[in-house]
Amino acid sequence: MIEVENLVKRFGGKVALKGISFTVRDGEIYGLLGPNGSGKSTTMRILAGIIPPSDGKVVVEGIDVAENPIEVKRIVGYIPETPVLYESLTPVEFFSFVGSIRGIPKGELEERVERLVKAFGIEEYLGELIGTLSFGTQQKVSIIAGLLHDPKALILDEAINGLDPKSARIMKELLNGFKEEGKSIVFSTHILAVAEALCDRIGIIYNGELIAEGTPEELKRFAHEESLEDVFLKLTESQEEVSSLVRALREAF
Amino acid sequence: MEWEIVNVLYREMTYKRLRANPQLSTDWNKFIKAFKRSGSLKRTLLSQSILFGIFGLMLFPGVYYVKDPSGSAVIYASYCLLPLIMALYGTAVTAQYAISLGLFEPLLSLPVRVGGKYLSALLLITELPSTLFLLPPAVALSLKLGPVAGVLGFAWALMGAFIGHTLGLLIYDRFGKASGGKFSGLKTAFKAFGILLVMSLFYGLNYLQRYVASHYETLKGVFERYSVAYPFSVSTVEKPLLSLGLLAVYGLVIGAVYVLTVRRLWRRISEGTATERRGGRARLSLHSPALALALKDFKIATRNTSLLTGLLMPVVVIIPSLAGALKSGSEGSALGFVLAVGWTSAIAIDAVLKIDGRAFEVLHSLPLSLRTFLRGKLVTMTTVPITAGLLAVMGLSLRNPGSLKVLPLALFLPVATAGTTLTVFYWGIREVALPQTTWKKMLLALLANGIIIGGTAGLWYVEWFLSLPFVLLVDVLLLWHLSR
Ligand SMILES: Nc1ncnc2c1ncn2[C@@H]1O[C@H](COP(=O)(O)OP(=O)(O)O)[C@@H](O)[C@H]1O
Ligand SMILES: [Mg+2]
Repeated sequence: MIEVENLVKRFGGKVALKGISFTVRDGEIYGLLGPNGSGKSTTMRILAGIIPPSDGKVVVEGIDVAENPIEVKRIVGYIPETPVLYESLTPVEFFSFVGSIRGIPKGELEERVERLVKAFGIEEYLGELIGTLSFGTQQKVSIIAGLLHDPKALILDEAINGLDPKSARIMKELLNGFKEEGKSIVFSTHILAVAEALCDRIGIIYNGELIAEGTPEELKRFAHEESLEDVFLKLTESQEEVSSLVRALREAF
Repeated sequence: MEWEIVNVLYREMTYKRLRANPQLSTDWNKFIKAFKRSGSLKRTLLSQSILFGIFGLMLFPGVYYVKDPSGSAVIYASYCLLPLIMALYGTAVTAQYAISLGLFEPLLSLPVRVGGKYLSALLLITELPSTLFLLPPAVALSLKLGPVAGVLGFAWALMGAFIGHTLGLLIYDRFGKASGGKFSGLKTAFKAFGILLVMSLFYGLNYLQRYVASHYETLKGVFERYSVAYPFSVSTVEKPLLSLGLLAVYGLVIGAVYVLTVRRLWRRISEGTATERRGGRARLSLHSPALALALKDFKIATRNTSLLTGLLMPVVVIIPSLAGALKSGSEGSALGFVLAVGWTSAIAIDAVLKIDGRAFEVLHSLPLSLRTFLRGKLVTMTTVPITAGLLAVMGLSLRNPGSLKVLPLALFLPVATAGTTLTVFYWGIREVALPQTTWKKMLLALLANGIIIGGTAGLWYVEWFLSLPFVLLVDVLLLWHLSR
């Protein structure tokens, strides 16, 4: 379970998160939906213990993130928005490194690497330097590295973005499997179809505030709209703006 | 237009280099200041030219104060190797670096035909100031032997830089793949050797100067006999016309090679950093966290020339004191050598903190305590100095078995100095992060290391076996601090 209570994050004078609260239950996929710059990545990084909150309380599986970030990192699997990897290591060397730091028993590590590498179809790249791999392949390496320790909670920051359809499908299957095992999963995206298909509940974040929350159906009913896209645009007040922008674009060509 | 492109490429290269420096990239103001300082190609060229010109003044007396005029010519000819080697090394290394930064990617989508020339121009222009190193000795030459000799001499220095640059491009075009493949271990060894060679060039030059001064008679004969293979200016004195002719021939031949290489280069650049398969599938291997951190550091460093240079720097710095110890063979000089190793392991902190680069973020997402991180960095910092120190002391003991008394110090002193430096730099920091290098911290580290090294030396002279317990005490305190 992940509990976020009145979370505030300030960067210098800038307030990126203005007190957001939500709960992710065991066996639930919670989608954090919002336009660029709304504070999704910031929230995710705080949940993963990477940056400290400025105010408020975040508890992951009973551990307070502010008090014990290292313990949180031990049980959480975090997959960043853009893969940050050691580019001059090979994937196998990188997995070994992560496995060593996390103290994963050899047998388990081998078995998981084997399974995940096969699932994402990157066997042939295992011996090449990460820096020479395509963005999508790097993303897969990053995803695998985040899953190696069989985390209790998963924090995925737009993790499906760079994947081809087949891998995106595998990722969804994996997430559904994790859900059945009772893991709590937070999933941020700005792709609405993905959120609608995958998430049990969705929180819409805008300008550092959580402006709506519910199941996809609840959100649609609440906003009297047909699709989640309309809900999203309506809530983030960008519908007018978008149509005038589209008109201007058309005229430009 | 062409200059504009080179200018933009240079700015971009500087930007990316500074951006990769974690100490700058976390502090925007500091970053902008540094970028303003070194982002302008014109300014950099100017300041570098002045710097190299001033350095070159050191070479002036070597040429000017030789009695025999042909002696001047021989000495100058030996200096002419410098621009060649510097341009060769600079080109080979920087070409790899510039391309790995993706500098040329924006050009790839534009209708550019011989794009390789921009890489060449970028490198050549940034190498030109180093040729000014030879301007003062060339002036000395013309004062001694007339302006024709001076001008021809400097023309040969420029030709040397051009030859080095062309060879550098050729080497990059031929071997410039990212490390990997069957012989990657061998390649790393070669690279390390090459780096050591170039870095010790300064000492070598010193030696060369003395050697040439005392043997120039013989050398003159050799140079003259092989004036076609080693044309640098020697024939200038007696046969300026021959020298001019050779200059033209070299210019034509190297020029042709250059044009061909630059044409081919673009293909390599457009293909990106193609790697060969790293033979077979490496197996997963697990280690303790601290060791895994250090192993990762070494893997990265051996695949990146500039990081490798940084890590090997301690070895170069100790060469003079090793030479001194070898010459005298006394135990005291062996101690002096080990103390020098102690100093250099403290210096290694700079290189060691640069290794992670942009990927430092990876460490933030792992359950890694600061202590473990620091233990790992301690291993990275001390491995090279300890290995070099132990090997050298064992070598010294062949001359004087008494040197073996400093062997334990060669093992434990680097741990003490490197550990102290880490502790000072990370004072007050509680999670895995990169420390700001402030003057205060540097001074403090200097002072603390001075006390350790001074204490070791002082105790040694009271009674040699007293120094070891002192160093061990520091080690134990540090390791206790790092394992809490
Ligand atoms: N390290 C930082 N320093 C200053 N501002 C930041 C930093 N990280 C994020 N921000 C700001 O916080 C806001 C939210 O960013 P982010 O969480 O990355 O948004 P999202 O992931 O939803 O696109 C943005 O306005 C961004 O500029
Ligand atoms: Mg984001």
